[in-house]
Amino acid sequence: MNLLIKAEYRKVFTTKLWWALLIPAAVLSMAFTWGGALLGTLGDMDREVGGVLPLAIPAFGQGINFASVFGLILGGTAVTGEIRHKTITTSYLTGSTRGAVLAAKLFVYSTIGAVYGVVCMLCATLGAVFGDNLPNAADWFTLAGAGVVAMIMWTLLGVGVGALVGNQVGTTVGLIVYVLIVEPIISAVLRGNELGEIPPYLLNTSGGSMVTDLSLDLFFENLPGSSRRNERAYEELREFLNMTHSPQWWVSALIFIAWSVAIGLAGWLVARRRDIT
Amino acid sequence: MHDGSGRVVVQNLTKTFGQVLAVQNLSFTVEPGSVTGFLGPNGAGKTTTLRMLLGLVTPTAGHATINGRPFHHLGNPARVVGAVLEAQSFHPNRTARNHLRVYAAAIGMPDQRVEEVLHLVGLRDAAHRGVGGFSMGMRQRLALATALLGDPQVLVLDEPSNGLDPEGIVWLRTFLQGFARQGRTVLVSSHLLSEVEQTVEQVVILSRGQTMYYGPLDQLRKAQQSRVVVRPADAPRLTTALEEAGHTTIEQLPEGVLAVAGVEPEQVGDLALEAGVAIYGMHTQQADLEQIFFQLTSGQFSGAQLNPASPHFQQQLLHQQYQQPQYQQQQYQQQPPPGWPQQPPPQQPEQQQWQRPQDGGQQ
Repeated sequence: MNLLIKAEYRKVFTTKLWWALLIPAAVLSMAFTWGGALLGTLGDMDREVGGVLPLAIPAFGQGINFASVFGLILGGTAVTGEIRHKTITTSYLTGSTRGAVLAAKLFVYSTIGAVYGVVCMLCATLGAVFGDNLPNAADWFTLAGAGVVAMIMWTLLGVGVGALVGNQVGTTVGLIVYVLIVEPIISAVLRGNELGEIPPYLLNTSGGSMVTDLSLDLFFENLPGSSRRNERAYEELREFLNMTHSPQWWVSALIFIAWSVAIGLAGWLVARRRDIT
Repeated sequence: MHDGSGRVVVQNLTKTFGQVLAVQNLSFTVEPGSVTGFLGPNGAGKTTTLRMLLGLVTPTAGHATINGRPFHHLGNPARVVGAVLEAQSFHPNRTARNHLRVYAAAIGMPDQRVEEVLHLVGLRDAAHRGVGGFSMGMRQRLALATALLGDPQVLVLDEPSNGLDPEGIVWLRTFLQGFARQGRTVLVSSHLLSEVEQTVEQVVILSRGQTMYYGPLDQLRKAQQSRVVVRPADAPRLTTALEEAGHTTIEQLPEGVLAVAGVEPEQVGDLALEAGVAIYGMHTQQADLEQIFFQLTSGQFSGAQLNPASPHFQQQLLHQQYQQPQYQQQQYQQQPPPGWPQQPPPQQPEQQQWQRPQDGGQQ
C-alpha cells in the first residue's frame, strides 16, 4: 500500500495539473478576502455601524466555496485522467489489487486536497492582512480549519465521481451541471412544495453551507454595535439566502462529509470491477 | 503464493460483451523456456484474452492463471508478469523517466532499475523528454521498459511489433528469444504469422474467439503436406496411373498440370515411365505457413455458410492432415472446440500431468 501511495504522489507531481489548478484557487481565495477586507474598511460603513465591518469573514467563506471547485476538478481527474491516457492499465498491472490502487488514489488525493486547503487558507489570510482587516484570530482560524476540511471533502468527492463515471469530460461537465442547474432546481421545487427542510441535506447545499453558515455566524459575532439589531439582520439574511432550514454549520459539515465518503466509496466499488478494454 | 513455474494456463475462458461473443471456451497452456505466438486475425479475441489473463477484464466463464494463481492473487504481480498491451498508455506530458519512476515506486523497485531498463531498450537519451513527442517505435520501447521494471518471469506482449522499424523488430526478436532462453515465459500476440514466424516456437491460433490450433510451430509446418506439381504429356493417363497406385488426392490445374499430394517426385516419375507418359516438368511445392494460418482463420467475417466449429469444416480445411492422437483433449475436463487439432510439445512431458489449480483458481 505504501508503494502505491508513493507511486500515486509521483503521478501527481510529475505533471502540471496540480499547480495549474492550485494557482487560480489560491488567487481566488486571496482576492475574496482582500476585497471583503477593503469593503469592510470603507469610511462610510465605519460611521454607519460604528466600527470596522468584518466583511472579510463572509468573503472568506465564499472564497472557500469557489476555490474548492478546483479541488473538485483535480479530484475528478484522478481516475478519469488515467483512463483517458490509458495509464490505468499499467497502474492496475503494477498494483497488488485494483482495490489497493484505487484506495491509494483516494488517500493521496485527499492529502492533496489538504495541501490545496492549507495553501488557499494562507492566501486568504494574506488577503485579509493586505486589506488591513484581519478579524479575531480564533474565529478566523476556525473558519480556515473548516475550509481545509471542505477542500479535502470536495477533492475526495471529485475522485469518487470520476471513478463512478469513468469519463473525464463527463465527470467535469456532469459535476458542473449538477451543482449549477440540477441541485438548484431540486431545491427550488422542494421549497416550493413546503419541503424546505430537505435541501440542506443535498450534496452541494451541505458542502456550501458548512462554510457559509460558519462564516455568517462569525460575521455577526464580530459585528460592532447592538446585538439585538444584529440578530434581526442575521435572520433576515439567512432567509434571503434560503438558509432558514439550514442546520448548524457543523451538522452541514457532517452531512457533506457523509456524502463525500459515500461517493468515494461507491467510486471505489464500481471502478475496481469495471473492465478495462 | 504462486508456484514459480512460469506457466500460463487459460482454461475454458469465455467473454461476452453484451451480445458479442468475444472469446469462446478458450483453453491453452503456455510453457516457460520458449516464445509462444498468440495468433489470430484482428477481432479474433486476442486482446480480450490477454486482458482477462491480466485481470483487466472479468471473464464471463472460465479462468486464467499465471504460476497457478489468478493475476490479482500474485501478491506483487508486476514482479511475476510484465505486459505490453498498448503503446499508447502514457501521459503525454510526463517524461519517460518519470513514467518509469512512477511504476518503479508502485512495484517497489529502486530508481536505479529505471536507468537499467532505459538502457536496455535504448531510450536513455530520450528519457528526459515528454512521451507526447515520442514516435510509435519509442513508445513501444518505453512500454517494454515498463513491463521489464519488475524483472518478471513472464512477459506478455500484445502486437509489440506495431510501429517498430525493421531494425527494432530484429532487436525485439533477439531480445524475446534471449529472455525465453533464460527459462522465462514469453507470450506474444500478432495478427501476422509471418511477423512472429522467426521468433516463436509454439503457437496458439485463434479465430472467432476459439482455439484453432495449439502446439509447436514445427508440427504445424510438418503437418502440412507437400505436393508434387507435374506437367505430363497426357494428364488423364497419368491420373489413372496415379489413382491405380493409390494416390487419389490429385488436383487438376490449368493447362494439363496436376498437383499430387502425399507423394514423392520419384514415385510420380516411376509411375509415369511405367504408364508411358512423358513428363515435361515437375517440382515439389511446400505449403507455406501463412497459407495454413489463413486457412485456419479464414471465414471469421465472411464464412456465413460454413460453421468453422463444425468437424466437417475443420476436415475440409486441414485435408485430414492432423491425424495425431487426440488424447490430450481428455486432460482438460472440457469440451474443446470440435476438431481441435492438438499435439503436446514433445519436450514438455510434464504438461500432461497438469491439473486444475488446487485453490480452484478464482475465489
